[in-house]
Amino acid sequence: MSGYRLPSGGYVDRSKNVSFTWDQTRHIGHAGDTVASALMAHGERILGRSFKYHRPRGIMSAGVEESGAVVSLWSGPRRVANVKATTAEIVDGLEVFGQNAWPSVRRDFGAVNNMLGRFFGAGFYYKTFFGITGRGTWEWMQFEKVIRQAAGMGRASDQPDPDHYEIVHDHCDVLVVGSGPAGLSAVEAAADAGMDVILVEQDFELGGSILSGMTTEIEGKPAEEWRTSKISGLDGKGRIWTRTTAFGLYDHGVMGLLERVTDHLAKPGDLPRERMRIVRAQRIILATGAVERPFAFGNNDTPGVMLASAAATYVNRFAVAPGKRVVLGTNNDSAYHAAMTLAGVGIDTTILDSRELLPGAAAEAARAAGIHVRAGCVPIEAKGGRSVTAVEIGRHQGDKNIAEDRIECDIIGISGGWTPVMHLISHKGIRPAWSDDLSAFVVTDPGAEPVALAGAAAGHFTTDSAVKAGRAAGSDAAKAITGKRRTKLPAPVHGWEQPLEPLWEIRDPGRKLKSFIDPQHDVTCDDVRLAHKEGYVSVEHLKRYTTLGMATDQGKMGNVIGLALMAEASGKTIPETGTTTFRPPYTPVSIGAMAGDERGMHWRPTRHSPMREEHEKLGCKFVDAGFWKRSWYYPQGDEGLAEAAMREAIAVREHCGMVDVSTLGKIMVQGPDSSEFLNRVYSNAFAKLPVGKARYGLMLRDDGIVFDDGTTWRLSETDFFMTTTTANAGPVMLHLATLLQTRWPEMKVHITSVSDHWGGVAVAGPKARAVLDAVCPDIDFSDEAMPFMGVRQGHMSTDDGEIPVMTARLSFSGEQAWEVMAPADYCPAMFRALLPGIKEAGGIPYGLEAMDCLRVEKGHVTGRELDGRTTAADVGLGGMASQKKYYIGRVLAGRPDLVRADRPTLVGLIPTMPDARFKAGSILFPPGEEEGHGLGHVSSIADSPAMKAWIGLGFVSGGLAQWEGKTIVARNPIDDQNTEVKVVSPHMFDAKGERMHG
Amino acid sequence: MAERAIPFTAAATGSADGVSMDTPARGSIWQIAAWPETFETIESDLAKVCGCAAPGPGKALETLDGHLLIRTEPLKWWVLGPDGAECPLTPNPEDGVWLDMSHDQVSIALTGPNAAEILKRMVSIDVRDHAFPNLSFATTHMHHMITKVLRRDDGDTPRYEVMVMRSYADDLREITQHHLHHFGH
Repeated sequence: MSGYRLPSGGYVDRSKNVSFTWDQTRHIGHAGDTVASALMAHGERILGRSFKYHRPRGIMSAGVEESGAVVSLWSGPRRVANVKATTAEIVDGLEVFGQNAWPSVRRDFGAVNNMLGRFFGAGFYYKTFFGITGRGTWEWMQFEKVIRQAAGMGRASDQPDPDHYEIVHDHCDVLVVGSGPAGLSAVEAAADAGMDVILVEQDFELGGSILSGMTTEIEGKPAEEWRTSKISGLDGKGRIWTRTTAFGLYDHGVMGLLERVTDHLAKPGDLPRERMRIVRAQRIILATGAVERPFAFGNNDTPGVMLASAAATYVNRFAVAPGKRVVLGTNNDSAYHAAMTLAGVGIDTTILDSRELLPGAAAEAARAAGIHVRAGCVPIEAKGGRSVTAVEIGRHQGDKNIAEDRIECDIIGISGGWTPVMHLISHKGIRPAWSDDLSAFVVTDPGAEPVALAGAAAGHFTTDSAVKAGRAAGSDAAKAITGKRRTKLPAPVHGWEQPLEPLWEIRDPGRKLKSFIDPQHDVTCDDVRLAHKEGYVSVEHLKRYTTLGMATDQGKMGNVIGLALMAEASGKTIPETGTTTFRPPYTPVSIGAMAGDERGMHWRPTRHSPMREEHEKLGCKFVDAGFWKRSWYYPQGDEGLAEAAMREAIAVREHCGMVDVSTLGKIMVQGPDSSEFLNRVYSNAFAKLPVGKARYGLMLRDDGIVFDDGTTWRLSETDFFMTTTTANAGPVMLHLATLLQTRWPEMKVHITSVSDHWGGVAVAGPKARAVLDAVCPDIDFSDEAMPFMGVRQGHMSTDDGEIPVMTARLSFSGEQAWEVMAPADYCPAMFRALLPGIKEAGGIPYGLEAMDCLRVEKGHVTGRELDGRTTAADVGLGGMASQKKYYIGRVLAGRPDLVRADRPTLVGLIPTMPDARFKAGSILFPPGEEEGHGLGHVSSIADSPAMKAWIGLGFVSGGLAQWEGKTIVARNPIDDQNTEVKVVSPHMFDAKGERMHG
Repeated sequence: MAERAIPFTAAATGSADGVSMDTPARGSIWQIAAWPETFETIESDLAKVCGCAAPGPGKALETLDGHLLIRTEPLKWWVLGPDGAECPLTPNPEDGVWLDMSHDQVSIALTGPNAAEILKRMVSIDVRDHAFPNLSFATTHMHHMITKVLRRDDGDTPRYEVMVMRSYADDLREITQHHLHHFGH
């Protein structure tokens, strides 16, 4: 038992009791309590266990820098691990659990590690478990499984998250981060200047350091009165968001905020648990304050050791006394404020000031308040196994601090100085400068960023100075936005009576102390020195080797001490040693908040054909193709994919079929220079394509590799309708736009995506013409009027009335076929108009699977062949690469490697055994040489009804010229299966195209 | 002419505290594009045929016959009218081009004092009144979908039309209804 609730004071609402459990034991706190303050009020001292040694850990701070009291909240699917008890509000029904311990943090069997601690120095695992059997990485991977069971912090829930999250975009003129004296002053000044302001505060109360009682008077008013007047003065002047952490600063004034919406509510209703706000601000003011840092001494991780300001915060804000006898060790003046707060509620308080020269007025006031003040003294070692019972103290004599006294106490408060919170500006790559006055890094110049720092974040350590700096920053932000003459921000003022004495570690030459600088990850001062001895001279390497600063507090407490010890070991100054780079997020952000609403069925968008409902009526199964849901097959009865696709393919070959081609990319190319533009874009000629005709085109990338293929229909002298593959609709549009904007801006060409304006079907098969004739009275589909590649515009009669259509005689199936396009809203009517005729002709709608089979039989290529590695010649389309004109990709297509004689080129593949099968992706080898990279690979396969065999397309080095008619082996190394296949022409069915030309 | 099919597979309606969702009638969209050197000619011709000054970038204006003329891109305008409306300007290709895009887009409308709050959950543009007043237009994105937002107030009540490509219709409906469902709780 140590902490207890004070009879009066604080910001908690004593009229509202809040019931929660700590490791399944019921506790009562008050509204306004954090988990830490409520548990401290109940005398709980051990709230956590350290990462490696499983040493007991207590409350060390009162904020996000907490490194000891790290707990898990809630249970089941809502469980959240690694929450700082110092920031989590209690709410009725809240479940709080200790973590990284068994059976509990109070009695943890894992603490046996502590007995072996002398062997567990920095790099222990790597040095040990790579070398026992001499098998290096393999060996480590075996041990790692066991080590992972023993190490680690809390466990996240493995059940689906029942909560929902949202992402909101906001804009403002001035965004102020932090609501202490500087932040409140800044937002007031900006709002008074007419700016649209947002104030964000990570805490659930506005006021920052005022809440901790470190300031008693501001601008002549009691601090609390000043705070409430400023808050009420902001009413209606801007947006104020508490429980909102600014976690990352990005380019162009974009700030990422995480708002905890419901964690403090007993009944959250349907609100999102968390809300990520992405704020675009014209100016940003960072009034993020400073965090107190400790210094290291023996057993400084024992529960009961905490920051001096935190001890005062628990008294002033939460009305909780952390203990009955407190010893404060300090090297600066600020601890005197904390001491006065503690003594003011009757706590027996002693100050150990490492400096011989004390701050006169503060020391005098302290003594007058009954505080014992000892100059030139430091704590050397905390005593007490599971919590502090006493502290050994001694004279501060550099490295020689000899214990000469012992003070019985239950709390040791430490103040080693203050570190400005400059994480956010650091996210933008701004490097801080070392301040000898503050013994801390400070950002003095945010460069070209639209950001200013104010208050303690900028090195202002008096309240008056912070208020002035905040007001100046707010006013200056308004001037910057309105174009008025800017003012220089005031220089930092630390305002201490006596200068701070740099103090990082207390050593006693007579004994070995276990002194921690990162208590959560068990990084000690000796670990830093060991790392230096072993050659880790870079601070970034030090961090990774020792894991210093990689715990959930991300080095907020210990990084500077680590740097200082590293500097000392290497004989350099701290700024010479370097700084660590802070990266977003400032505090952890849940994955749920990052995903927002983009989860479940909306984890990505879904595109549907305009004929979706018509397909659904026929029982169509759909398959994902990028964002699209494409019609895959139409099963009848108990049919599976293979049976249905086989039936559909046969129907197309024997009668006719209809397949939805709405997913094709469609681009209108318009303007007087359109034909020349297309002539440059495609590798084959387009300049003389007549109106009313379509042409298959092959598009190369600049590097000569095939990019995309499709047909382009000439609708008029200046209007072309281009189709692309489904997958490349977006990239082709981007490619064309880039060409027009950067290479040929003089061309009079406009391109517009009309992929969604038009939907379409391909009607294919020997009876397709009859089907179309019946519904399109004003279009002549005869060979004479509409030969292969002919384009016509007309109308289709539907039950709903007449609709406009345009059609081109094209074929991907190898049958007589027409692509028919209609404006999307008319497509369902078009589908319904065509279906009866198709059925009457013995045909059916067919899906992607059957279409793929038909095209493999014909040797037509898709993305499986145009895979970003193949040239026109590789896929058998070398004849389409004009030698007479300029086009994109022509020059680099002639690179020696792309015209090598032994490049794998497209071939057809048929098994030598009638029932044999092989898989796409199989590697092709000469018989008896099934090792290595082989001759090439299988790109596509199909169970071909026309060939009555399993067939495939693939690429073979040397191609048909070398291998036609020969047998090679398709090897699937995953299934360890070899299949003998004969190499044939890729045009396996109707090679002369007689069916297609009809 | 056949009746146009509704792109949504379920009713695209809903409401929440201070905001309601509905679907504007399917109408015509004509795109008219100029060349850099003919921009002023086309702009002037459009102003004549529409009976209003041609709007500047990101702006829209009501035409004399109640259509809406929008400057969608530096060299492009859209004319939004009722279904079947003819293109008001069909320039010579040397001056510009026109294109029917009536079936390309699908839209929902959010109306009410809290409409902007819903919109902020969908798109990243600045929809504060002074930054995006009545008859403003912007192209942005929502959940990987190219999205266009048109502010077209209903009297004094803010109203935003959100347009995406037709194939995304049900995503637009579901996402908007999701936000409406959770808003205001």
